[in-house]
Amino acid sequence: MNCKEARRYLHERADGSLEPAGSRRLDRHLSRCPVCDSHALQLEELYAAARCLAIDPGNDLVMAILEKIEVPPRTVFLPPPGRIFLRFDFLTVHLVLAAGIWISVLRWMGSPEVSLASPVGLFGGLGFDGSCFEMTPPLPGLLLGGLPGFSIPGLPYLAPPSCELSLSMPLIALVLVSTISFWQVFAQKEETT
Amino acid sequence: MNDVQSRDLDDAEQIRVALQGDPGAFALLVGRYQRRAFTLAARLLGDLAEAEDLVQESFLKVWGARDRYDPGRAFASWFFNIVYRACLNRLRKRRPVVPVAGSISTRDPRDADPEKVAIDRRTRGELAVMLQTLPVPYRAAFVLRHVNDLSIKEIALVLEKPEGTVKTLIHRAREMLRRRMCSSEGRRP
Repeated sequence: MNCKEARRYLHERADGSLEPAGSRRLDRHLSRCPVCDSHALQLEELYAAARCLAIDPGNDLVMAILEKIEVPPRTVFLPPPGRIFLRFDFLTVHLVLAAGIWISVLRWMGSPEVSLASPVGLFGGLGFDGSCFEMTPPLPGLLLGGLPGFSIPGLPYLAPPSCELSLSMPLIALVLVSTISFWQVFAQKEETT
Repeated sequence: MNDVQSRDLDDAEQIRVALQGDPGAFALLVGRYQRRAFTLAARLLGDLAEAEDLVQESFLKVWGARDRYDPGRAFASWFFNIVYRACLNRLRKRRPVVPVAGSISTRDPRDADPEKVAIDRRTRGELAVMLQTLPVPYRAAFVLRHVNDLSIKEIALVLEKPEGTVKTLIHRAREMLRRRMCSSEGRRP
């Protein structure tokens, strides 16, 4: 290794990019060459002095910064029913409810063909034996206008409410869902302001 | 997992929490980076009050832009790049200020450090002034490497220059400072 190479290696070592083999070669050269050794010593002194150039900003900086930052509003905590409704697509929930109202209205009009058109197996509808059934537990069937009065074999039987109640349940559900949804939106607005 | 990897994971987690808007975690982040940011700003601007002002601004900028932070990028290089750019903007707007020798070393907390006692105060003061005479990119590269202890790769990201260019800047800065230190001490460079 010549002196020119040694100077380059000194810088590479300081950059952290000198391989161990190169480092050993450099050390061998430094042990034999007093000029390069002196050069290396001067660089070491420079690095030591440079490390002492760090300056502490003092203790007030953190507080000064924290006083100026704008803290974002907390995320609003929703009670479980509200969370469930928020997770559904809003439009889908209302479309399903509208379908329930439609089925109920048609049934209320007393048309037997309508029962055949009702969505079997969704929330209530036509059984395999031709009779109407209601899903058990009955709440989804009621909400969606399923015709009560029939039960799936083996599951608890629900006493049939009147046709008017069957119609009114989807409407009640619609009002309920809308109220909860608007309350959530309102509550979030309140929280962000 | 070694200590370095574990520390990096801790850093990443702390940065993630801080940049999600947690003021407590952000305070820790400020505490961790303020010294190096302040050093860079002070050594580039040569003025403590202005450096403090700039570091505050930079942290507030980080807080305001935390939604735009790319987690794939190292926080240190992103943050120091913000500080560096802010320094360049300030330097463009004013004439350079050359500090009195050693004047910006007075708040150095290493006063009680035995290593520091061993280093001649005069040398440090002179080095601070010599550093101030270097062109800004040389100065920034030298401070980031030898004072803030960043890697060449990180410095390249901060200065937005290729790694080869950064190495050249640092090598030249070292040689300039070494020669000037030798000349001031009457030694042969």
